[in-house]
Amino acid sequence: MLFALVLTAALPDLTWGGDIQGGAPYVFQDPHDPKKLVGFEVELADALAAKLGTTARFVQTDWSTLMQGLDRGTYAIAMNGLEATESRRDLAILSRPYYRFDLVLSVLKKRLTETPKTIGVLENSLAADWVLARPQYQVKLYQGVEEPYADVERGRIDAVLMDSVIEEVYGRAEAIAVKERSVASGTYVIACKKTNAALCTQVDAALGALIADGTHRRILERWKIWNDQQSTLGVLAAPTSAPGVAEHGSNRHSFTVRHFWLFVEASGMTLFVSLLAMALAMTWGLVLASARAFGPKWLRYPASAIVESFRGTPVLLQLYVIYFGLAPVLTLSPLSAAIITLGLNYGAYEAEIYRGGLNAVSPRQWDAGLVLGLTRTQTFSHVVMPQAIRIALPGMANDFVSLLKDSALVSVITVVELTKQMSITAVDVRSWIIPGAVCALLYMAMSLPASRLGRYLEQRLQTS
Amino acid sequence: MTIALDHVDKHYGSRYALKAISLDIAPGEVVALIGPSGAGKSTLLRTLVGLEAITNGEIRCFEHRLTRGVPAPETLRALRQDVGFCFQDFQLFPHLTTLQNVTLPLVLTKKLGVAEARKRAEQVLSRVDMLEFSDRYPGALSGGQKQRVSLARALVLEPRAMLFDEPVSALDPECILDVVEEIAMLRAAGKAVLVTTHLLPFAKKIATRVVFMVDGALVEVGTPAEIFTAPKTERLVQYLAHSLA
Repeated sequence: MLFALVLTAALPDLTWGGDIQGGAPYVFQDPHDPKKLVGFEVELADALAAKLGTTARFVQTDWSTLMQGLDRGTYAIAMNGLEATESRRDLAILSRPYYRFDLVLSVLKKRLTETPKTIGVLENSLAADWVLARPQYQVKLYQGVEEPYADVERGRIDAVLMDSVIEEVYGRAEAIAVKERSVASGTYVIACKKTNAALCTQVDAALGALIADGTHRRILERWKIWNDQQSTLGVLAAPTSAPGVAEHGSNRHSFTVRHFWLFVEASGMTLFVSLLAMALAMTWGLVLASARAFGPKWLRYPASAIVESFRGTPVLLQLYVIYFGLAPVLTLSPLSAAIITLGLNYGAYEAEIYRGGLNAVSPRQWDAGLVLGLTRTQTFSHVVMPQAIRIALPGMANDFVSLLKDSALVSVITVVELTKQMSITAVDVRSWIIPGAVCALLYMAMSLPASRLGRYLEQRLQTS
Repeated sequence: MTIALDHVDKHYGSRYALKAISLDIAPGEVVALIGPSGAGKSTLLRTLVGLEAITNGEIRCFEHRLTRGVPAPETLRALRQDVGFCFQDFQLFPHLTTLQNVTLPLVLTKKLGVAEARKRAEQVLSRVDMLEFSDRYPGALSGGQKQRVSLARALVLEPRAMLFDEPVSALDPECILDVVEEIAMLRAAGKAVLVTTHLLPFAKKIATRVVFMVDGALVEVGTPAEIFTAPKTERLVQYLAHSLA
C-alpha cells in the first residue's frame, strides 16, 4: 500500500493545457466558486489522470498558442476542443477522438433567408479554416466565443460559424437562428508532443478505456452534450481526420509572392490605422493639455483624470471595453473603434508631451507677447504654442513608432492588420520564421522614417 | 503728466516689493532708475505695463488708469499700445524671422493687413539699420542686432512712452553707444523714457533725471549732477562709494 502510494507520488502530474476564455462547457470557472474549474474536459482530464495513476493539473494558456505551448513543454497534453486537422497532425501526435461535433452556422433571425457575407469564427479553429478556404466569404477572427454572437446581434457581422457544443451554450439568444445545422463536422482530440510518443500511447489507451467502460459517456451526459453521433467514437482508432472538410492549410504552402502582397496590404491597414490614430492623438492631446494648463477647475480635474486613466490602463483593455463593452450603448465598427481607442490612449501621452513643451517655453515669452498688446489667446497661439510644439515634436515622432507597434493589438477586435496577417500565414506555410522576418522588416520599413524624422527634428531644435 | 505713480504699493503679505512709490514723468524726459539688486526697479517697470498687479495706489499712463488688482484686458491692451517695453534679454520670438517679429504686433494688435504691416515694419527696421536682416532668425543675430530688432518691434506700435529694463546689461560695451543714441532720438521725438540700469556711467549719460531705489522705496531723486556728484542720503553715498562709477 505504502509502496503504491510512493509510486503514485513519484509519478508527475498530468499537465494539460487549455484556455478558460473558451468558456462552457469545456473548461471554465465555477460560477458559485470562481477558484474552482469545472467543465466536461476537467472531468475527462481527471478521469484520464486517474487511469494513469496520477492527478491532472490544468495549465491556463492562450487558445491561439495552444499548440506552441505543447512544443515548449508548458504542459504534457493539450485538450480544449482541439479539432483534428491536417496542420495539427503535422505539429503533434493526436489521440483518438473524444467528441464529434458539427459546425453550426447562425444568423440573425430576421435575416435567415439572406446569404451571409461576413462570418465570425474563433481564430485557429476548424471553422476558421473552413471560411478561410472559401474566398466568397469574408472571415472575422475572434478570440472569445461570446463576442461573435454579440456582434451578429449588433449587425457587425452576418453570421457565426461555431462548434455545435459552443453554439448550444452561447448561440441561443432570441434574435439568433440557426441557418445550417451541419455545414461540416469534426472531432476533438488530445494533442501530445511529437517527441513524447510513450505518453501519447498511454493517454490514448486510457481514453479508449474510458470510452469502453462508459465513464466518457457518463461525463458527456452530465454536461448534456451526449448525442447519437458520439456512440460511433469507440469504433474509431487514432488518428483520424474529419472527412469532407476542405481545410485551409491542409496542404503545406510555401511562402510566395502572393503571401508577400497580402502582407503589404495588411501593412496598409496598419499604416492607415496608425496615421489616423496619431492625428487624433495629437489633436485630442492638445485639447487635454490646454484644458489642464488654462482651463477652470471643472475642466482641469476631468482632463487630468482622463489622462491618468488612459495612461494607467492597458491598451488591450481599452480596446475590449470600447469595442465590446460599450456596444450596447455605442456600436462602433472595428476600424472606428481601433482608431478611436488608439487615438484616445495616445492622446493622453501627447497631452503630457505638450505639457512638457509648454512648461519649457519661458514665461518671459508670454510677457513679450502681452506687452505688444496681444491677448492671452493670441499670445498662446502665435508665440507660445508654436514653440511648445517644436519642443514636443521629437517626443511625438517617438510615440508614433510606439503606436505603430501597438496597432498590432487591434486584431483582438477583428481588424486584420500586419501581425494578424502574419499569424494567419504562419499557419498556412507551417512556419513562423519567414513570415515573422518579413513582418518585422515591414514594421521597420514603416517605423524607420518616423524615427529618422524624430532625430532630424531634435537636431533642428538644437540649432534654432 | 505722461506717466504718474501715486502711492503705489505692491506687497505679498508682509513682504513689500514696492513701498508708496510716487513719481511723475513728463514727455521728453529720460528717467533712469538705479539701485542695488532687489530694489524693485524691474518690478516697478513691470507694473507700469500691467505685467504685475499693484496692491495699493494708482498708476496713470496717459489716459489709462491702473488700480489695485488685475486690470481689465481692454485697459491693458490700450495701455500697452501707448507704452512700449523692451526686455533685458530682448525676448525676440525665436520661431519667427526678424521681419515676422516686427509685423506680428501690427497684424494682431493694430489689426493691419499683411501688406501694410510689412511696409511699416520695413520702415522701422531700416530706421534701426536692420532691414537687411529681415529674413534672419533671432538665433542668427548678435546681441546688438537683437537689441535693435526688439526696439523696432516695440516702436512699430508707435508708443508715446518707452520703458527699457536693463537695456545694455546683455550687450558688448561697443553697442552701448548705439543704445544711447536710440534713447536720445526718442527723447527728441518727445517720448517719455524710463530706464532701469545698474550701469552708472550709462545712467549718467542718458538721464535727465535719476531715481535711486532701495528695498522697494524711492530714496533719492534728482538730476544726474545732483545724484552723482552731490548725493544727499547716506544710503546713496554708500552705494556710489562701493560702485565703480
